[in-house]
Amino acid sequence: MFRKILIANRGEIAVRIIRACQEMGIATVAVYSDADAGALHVALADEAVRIGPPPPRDSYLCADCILEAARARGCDAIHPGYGFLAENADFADAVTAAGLTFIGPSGAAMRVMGSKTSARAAMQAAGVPVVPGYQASQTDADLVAAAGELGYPVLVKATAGGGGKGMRVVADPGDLPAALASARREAANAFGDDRIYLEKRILHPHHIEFQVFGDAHGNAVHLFERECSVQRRHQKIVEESPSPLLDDALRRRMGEAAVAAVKAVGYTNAGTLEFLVEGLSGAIDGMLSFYFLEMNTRLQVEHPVTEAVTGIDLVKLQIRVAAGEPIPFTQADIRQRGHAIECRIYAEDPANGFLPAIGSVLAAVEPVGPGVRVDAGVTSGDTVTLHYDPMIAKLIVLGEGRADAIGKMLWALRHYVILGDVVTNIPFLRDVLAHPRFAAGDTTTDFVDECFAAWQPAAFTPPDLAFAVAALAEVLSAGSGVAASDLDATGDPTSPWQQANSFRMGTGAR
Amino acid sequence: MARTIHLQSGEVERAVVVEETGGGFVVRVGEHVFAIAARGGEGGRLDLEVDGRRLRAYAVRQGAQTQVALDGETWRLERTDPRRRRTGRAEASGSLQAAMPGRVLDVLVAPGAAVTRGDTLVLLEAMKMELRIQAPADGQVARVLVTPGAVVERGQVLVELE
Repeated sequence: MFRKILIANRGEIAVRIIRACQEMGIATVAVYSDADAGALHVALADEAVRIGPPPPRDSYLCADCILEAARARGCDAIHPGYGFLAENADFADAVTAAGLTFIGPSGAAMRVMGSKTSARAAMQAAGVPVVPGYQASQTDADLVAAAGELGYPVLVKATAGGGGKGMRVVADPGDLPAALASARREAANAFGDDRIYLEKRILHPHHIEFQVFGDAHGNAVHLFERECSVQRRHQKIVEESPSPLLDDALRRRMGEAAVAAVKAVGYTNAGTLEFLVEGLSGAIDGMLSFYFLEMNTRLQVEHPVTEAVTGIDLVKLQIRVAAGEPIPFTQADIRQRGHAIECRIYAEDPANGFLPAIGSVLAAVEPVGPGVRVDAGVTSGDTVTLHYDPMIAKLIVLGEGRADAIGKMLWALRHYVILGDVVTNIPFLRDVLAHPRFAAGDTTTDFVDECFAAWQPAAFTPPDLAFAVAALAEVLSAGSGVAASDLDATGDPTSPWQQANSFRMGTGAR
Repeated sequence: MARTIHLQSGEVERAVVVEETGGGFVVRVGEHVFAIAARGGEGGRLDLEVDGRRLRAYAVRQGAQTQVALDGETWRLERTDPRRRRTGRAEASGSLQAAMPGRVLDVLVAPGAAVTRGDTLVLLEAMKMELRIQAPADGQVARVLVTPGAVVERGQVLVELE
């Protein structure tokens, strides 16, 4: 087992990994930019190394700086977390070449799965369904015939494409020839390559991903799914497991496909296969179809949801597998128990286009209770800076069933207090969780856009009591607190304050 | 001894009278009278009993602003000085700055242009997102200090209104 691990990340995920290392008796080295000198992950690690100025390219993305820190501090492994260098195949190779262990897949596996086209080819070879498409011919006649077989609407895409250029959605067969012509023109102008191909348009899909794990001994398992369809700006904000869409048969088919994919590419360590699943509107004879979308060759932000329902610590498993140990359980040992939901708490203003609303956090009080977990990278006294992702924390609950988990999450969101410069998305998340479509599990990827496009907080005007509390806080802070500490003083037995005599503050168990 | 504190949230203004009684407070907000027992704790915590109902609130002060977390909601209240006369209709004047470092995608107004509140003046790209810099009130563009493609620092003036 490793003696000392460098964590090449920041924020809540660095904190998460440090805690796993501490539980395993492994020493930790944090790295930080100048913007993070006082950050939580720096305070919690055994050692900390400054690696550069705030911009990520000069610090958390600086592979050489991080390798140098690892060598200087005698580390034998590096955990990349997610984001930054986590899916950088060259970095993974460089770590290995330096004689250290990269806690993740090999650079080679990253290269195969990191490119959309090679991943698509690898998945097809492994028998995993990909979004149906046609790329065998460039003639209009062949393309029109293929579109008819795929079924409308179809997507016309540029072979050399990216960023939506050369892409057309065609709903009516009569529009296809014109769309082919204009897509070719646009592709030729944008990429100097007018080749196009067709892909079936998946309508109102669910985004469902499978957590997978492979080890160096040829074992591969999946740890069930996460439903991640609640997204804004194509970024997940609420994740859950199990998915309310899947039945046991589809779950089994998708899980088997995921494991086949891992085995086919000899993938090791933690990874996630993302699928699009057609909603019930796309079901044929009640059968739902699923399609491989892409693979994330790293730990995911939303991994705690899987940890909650399986009881397996994914970070510790990553470390053990990277150290050469076999996965200590078989597929049959893994069970989904209860229902877990994660909400991502961001310093952003949902009423203002989800723009970051960053600054200091004067007071942060996290909810605590049975089945409530908070993975926070920011706490009281910290600052959310403009340099990095404005996520404050992840709030995860585990309930007996889905309704119980929703109730628990609504309670936890109500009891997460964050005061300061930051504006948070907590009121928005509460409204999402309370929405009838969420309750029904009808959360396709267009759910937020369709139902919350013009979202505003329900209440604009503070209640009179909020004015009273603000004024009281001012009086209490100005008046040395004597009045407050007199709370328990007995007085006139007829006084309305008599009832307060038995009021003992701060003694209740939390 | 009673103390009056003036607080404002958006358009709503309240004069709050706080009176200390034997071991507690009577707080008047307009017609609403609250009997409150309170104890302060760490991190702005206030354990309250309001008209017999117990609740835990949090209040932190930052300059003239007090933020209150109450029943799962967060409120921002500004202390105001009633001796100072309130200004009339909001007029846009002064400068609009970049709230974060970024790149100017587009400038949608020219000097001399009349703008109304909410008009988008400049499009910025920051943190991989598009930010709209909008007119805070009606006014006229005095100067435009950036061009598309320019990289701007936090606090850099983009447009001046008069």
